[in-house]
Amino acid sequence: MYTATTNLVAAASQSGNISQDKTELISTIITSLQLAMFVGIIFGVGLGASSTFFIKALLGKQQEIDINVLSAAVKYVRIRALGMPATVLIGVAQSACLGMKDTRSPLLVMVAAALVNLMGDFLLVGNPNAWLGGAAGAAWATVFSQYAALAMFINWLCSKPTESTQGKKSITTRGILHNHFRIRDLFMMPKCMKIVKKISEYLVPVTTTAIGRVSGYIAMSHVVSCAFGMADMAAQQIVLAFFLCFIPMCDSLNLTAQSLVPGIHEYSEDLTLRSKVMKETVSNFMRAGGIFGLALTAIASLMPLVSHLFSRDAAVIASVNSTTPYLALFCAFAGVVCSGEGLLLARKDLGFLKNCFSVFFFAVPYFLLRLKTAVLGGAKDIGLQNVWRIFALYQVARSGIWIIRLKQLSLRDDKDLQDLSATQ
Amino acid sequence: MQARKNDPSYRSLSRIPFRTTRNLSPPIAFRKLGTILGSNSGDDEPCCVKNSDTNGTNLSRIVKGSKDSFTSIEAPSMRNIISFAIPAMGIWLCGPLLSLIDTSAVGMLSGTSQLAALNPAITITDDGALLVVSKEREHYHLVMTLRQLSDCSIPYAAPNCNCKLCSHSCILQPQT
Repeated sequence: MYTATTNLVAAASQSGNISQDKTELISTIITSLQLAMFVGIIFGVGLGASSTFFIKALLGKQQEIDINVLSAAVKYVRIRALGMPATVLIGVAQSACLGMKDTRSPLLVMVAAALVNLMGDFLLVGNPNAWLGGAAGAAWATVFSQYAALAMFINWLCSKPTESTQGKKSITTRGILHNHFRIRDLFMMPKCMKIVKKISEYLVPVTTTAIGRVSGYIAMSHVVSCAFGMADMAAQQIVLAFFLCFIPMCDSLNLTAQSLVPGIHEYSEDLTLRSKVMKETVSNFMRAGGIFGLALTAIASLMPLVSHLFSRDAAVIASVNSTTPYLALFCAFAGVVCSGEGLLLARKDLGFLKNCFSVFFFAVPYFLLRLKTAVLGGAKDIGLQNVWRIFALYQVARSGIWIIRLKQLSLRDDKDLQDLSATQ
Repeated sequence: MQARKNDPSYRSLSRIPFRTTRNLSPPIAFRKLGTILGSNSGDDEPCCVKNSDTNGTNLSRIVKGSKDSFTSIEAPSMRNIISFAIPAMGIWLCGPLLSLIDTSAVGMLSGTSQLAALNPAITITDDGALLVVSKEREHYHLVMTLRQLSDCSIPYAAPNCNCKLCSHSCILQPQT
């Protein structure tokens, strides 16, 4: 839905710039917001109603589900379900801003929301009431910050554009909906069904990609929740929160390769030059990946020094620290993996990537579930570090496969050149 | 214009699959790509063409050329790669950092059982939301970069992707 909004708003924005008629742009934004409200409410109600079922499914059929953990997790999901309309609306508003080339406004709003969340955490989490404090407190803080961010976004889009804003060279979406939108419009059904239809066209392809993306994390959470104790579950949350901060850092290299390399790959004027430049590009990306890897490894290695900032429980801290070597190993190869993946995407080696990811999609959960079977079968000395060892080995395997494939493509280029010169 | 069309190096450029506008000349597009990230200046300069040493363009390292011809390609240097990649991190780090703060607050103020509960609970809410709204980081990022590169009037699609979105992709067209 976010992707659809960005694309449609961008298209409407462009045609509005040409014709000076913003009607289509405004209509697209309002329809996207109304649809977001509708989807958010449906999803929120569904999530709230089925929270116990999903939590129990994730925790598995273990004999001793801690009632406190189950109860806190269900409360967290139900409270967050209340914020789902805001979650979807913020995402759509953010996407609309990006579609209009405004990257500054969403960033400012998100920073403001982060501050609200931070204040909410410190005010609520320590509260002894089960519905206000603890995990529930964190959920309330997130929900409040989301509605605050939504209010800021609506205010930003609907406020009267000032002269300085209009005259400014920098791109801003401030006042784009001024005099065109009221809060109550959010609760109305979208009028423009053509735009609704366009958005729904994006639903299946993008959702399919997203399923592949989250399956590994769901398998990981299931194995840890099902097979390990409470301390390991808490430690997993800390390690995962830490780990997710590395993902954007890795992805940026992948995206850089996708943005810069296709021009070289498609250059057909001088194949010898292209081959030479491509080799140099691959080498530079691998070196950049190495630097990123070293930087991320250094950050990951700091985990034992900061783990005491996440829990006071010695068992949890010990469990977090036990994963550090594997997290560091994962990070060491992250730059090379992301560079390699971006280069292969840029070279349109999609068949190879599709086959690899099909194997990974089954292989990673398979090894994780074997771990679960072993633990439930009574195996000892298995802990959180084993889960992260599987992830680290997956990363090492990926880096090796990408490097071999890039070398293979380079050799193929050389062979094509030789064949070409032989025929000439 | 006819001379430009007949120039083989110009024709070869038209096959380079950067998405750009039908109305914007390729040199402008390449000049702009260097300033796309972190720079929201809304470059409204007239469509003059500058050489690769202006504006610190990144892509000028890749395709060098003057107004009417592109004669060579060059590998992006490691410095270019890193300076291009780092600004992309900023926007996407906000969410994970927020989650890290939540985790720290619950862990320090509420204890182990509450922290343990966060693991399945966050998996369900965040991954569930991801499935419903399909927030695709790559597509977002490339929307930003490629939209600023060009004023493409065709709905954006990520390059090198086989999904249905990319059936809308626009391919670089030489100005005629």
